[in-house]
Amino acid sequence: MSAATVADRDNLVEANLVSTRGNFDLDVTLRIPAGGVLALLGPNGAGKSTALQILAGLLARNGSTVTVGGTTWDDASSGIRRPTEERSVGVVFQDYLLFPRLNARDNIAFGLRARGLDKAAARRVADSWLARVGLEGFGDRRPAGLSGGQAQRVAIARALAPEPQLLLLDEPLAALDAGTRMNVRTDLRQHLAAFGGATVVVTHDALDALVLADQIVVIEAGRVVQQGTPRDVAGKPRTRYVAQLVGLNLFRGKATGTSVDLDGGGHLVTAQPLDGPVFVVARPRDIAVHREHPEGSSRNVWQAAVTNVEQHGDLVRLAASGRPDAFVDVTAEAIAELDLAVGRQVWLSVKATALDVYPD
Amino acid sequence: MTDLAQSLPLVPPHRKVHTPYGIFVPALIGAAFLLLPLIGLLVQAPWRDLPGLIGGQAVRTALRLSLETATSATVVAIILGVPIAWVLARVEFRGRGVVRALVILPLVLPPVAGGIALLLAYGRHGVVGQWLWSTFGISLPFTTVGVVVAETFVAMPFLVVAVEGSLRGLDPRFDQVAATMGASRWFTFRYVTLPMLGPGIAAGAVLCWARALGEFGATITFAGSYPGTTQTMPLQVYLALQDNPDAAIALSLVLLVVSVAILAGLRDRWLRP
Repeated sequence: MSAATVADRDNLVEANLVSTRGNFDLDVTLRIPAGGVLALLGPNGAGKSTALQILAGLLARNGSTVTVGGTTWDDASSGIRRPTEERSVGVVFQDYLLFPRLNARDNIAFGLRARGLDKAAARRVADSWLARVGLEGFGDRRPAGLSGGQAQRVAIARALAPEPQLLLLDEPLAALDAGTRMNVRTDLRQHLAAFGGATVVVTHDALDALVLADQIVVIEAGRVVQQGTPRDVAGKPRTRYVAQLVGLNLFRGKATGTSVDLDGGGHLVTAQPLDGPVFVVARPRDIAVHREHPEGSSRNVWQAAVTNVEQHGDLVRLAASGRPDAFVDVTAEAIAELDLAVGRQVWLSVKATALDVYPD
Repeated sequence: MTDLAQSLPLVPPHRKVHTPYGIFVPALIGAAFLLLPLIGLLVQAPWRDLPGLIGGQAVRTALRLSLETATSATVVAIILGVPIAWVLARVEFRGRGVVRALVILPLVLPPVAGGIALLLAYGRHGVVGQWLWSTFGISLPFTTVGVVVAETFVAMPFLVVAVEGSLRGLDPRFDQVAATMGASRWFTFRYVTLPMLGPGIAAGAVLCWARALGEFGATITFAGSYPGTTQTMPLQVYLALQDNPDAAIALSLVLLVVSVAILAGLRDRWLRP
């Protein structure tokens, strides 16, 4: 945050998004280079949509500062607020909001027409976009005649056709069913890769963020709690929310060499020595479950009670309550073999070398 | 016991409710009450003389005048009424309720009173009429334009109510979408809002037109009844009733046919619950 005043010339978008409404307040700083894709990841109510609205100029009265390509769009201190229609943005709304009385071609041509291109030229561009998103021949269809995936692609084309500097995607895949989502996500990634401007993707889906973005900003309750590359965020979560999203056990504690005393009670031994406050991460599949105290090489063994059993892909995920609590993935055979059920007392073990540790 | 009660919904969905027999009797009487006059009109109609009665020059002149004035009134109502509906639906301002009440007032005001109010405003000695007369030499009462004014006054609220309803049903986020694509407010109104409002405006316009076509009280008060210039069909029906009842019936029949045609045209919108 301290670097907010130092403008980074390489960034196309510099934004300090500030808004206070009732008892919710948002204060998030984003920097995106040209061609960069930033995912704003967070739970419902974290302020993601508010952030998008500020960037699009759709939120009246806020204390934000937004600069795009060296031009100031918002500056609360000098009272600058460029109206939405004068911002070079493209927005894909969660439910797309395609104009129902216009066909796919005219939906895509709309932004070009609004900026003064003549009808024939705008339609030619729209047709080339239809081809780019794989919807050749669908130009005459109204939105009601398009599937969810097709409507999504029209919405993307509509947002990109006027070649905006800033592309905003609000939960772009949330309205799709699981089967369609995978294909559309892959297509979307390609369109974003070809896009020269800056992109902000708002999502609460970790996979969307990991696949689409090259920079992830995690926000909770209006504040940035973690940011970094998808690899950083997925491998080194810093909050319980992120850990849960990426499916990891996250423990917080104080390290003395390879020994870590956990904040919630319990103790773990790691392979890498560190000192001071640390995070320790354990993959659920690296934790083993036993009915008896295990013999063997694991340095970390503790007792816990099974509190939940849930199918999780081709594995079964156990929630176990102990010191510390942990999620454990086991095979279906193991469930039968060990007779695991809610309430069962078990022993958990994890090798020191299977634990990742990094400073808090 | 409690568990069972909770598992059963209070009213099972999609199940016909038993209607008390006491409801059917007044319902039937009411329907007959509405239907009988129409049947009477059909039975009493002088079918053999019909071509002669409605084919005459006077009737054709009155019918053409009615259609022309009702259509003009509808056009004026669209031009003025759609913006009124927009402001009422989308602009927050103090006293909006009062303005809405005033705009809707002609719906409930007896048309004769409306005609008198029009005379006081737009008559040659009226507040605005005096100025119109002294400045431009224009006098509205007892002219065809006066008929249009009277019909617009009475019929426009129908259009305003219908269009305001459709505007409220529109997702205002479409305006935001258009703005993010660089569309000015006017461009958005022209190419996004108006097309989506189309059906609502059409329905309101038909209602407005039908009301204007049947206008009597305000028209006769404000515009009088001069054949060729202000004597519309309803006025002619009334006058015919005094000396040629058969002609009155025949003319009513023509108006009934026009009304049924309108209903048929709107069946998809209003005849489905």
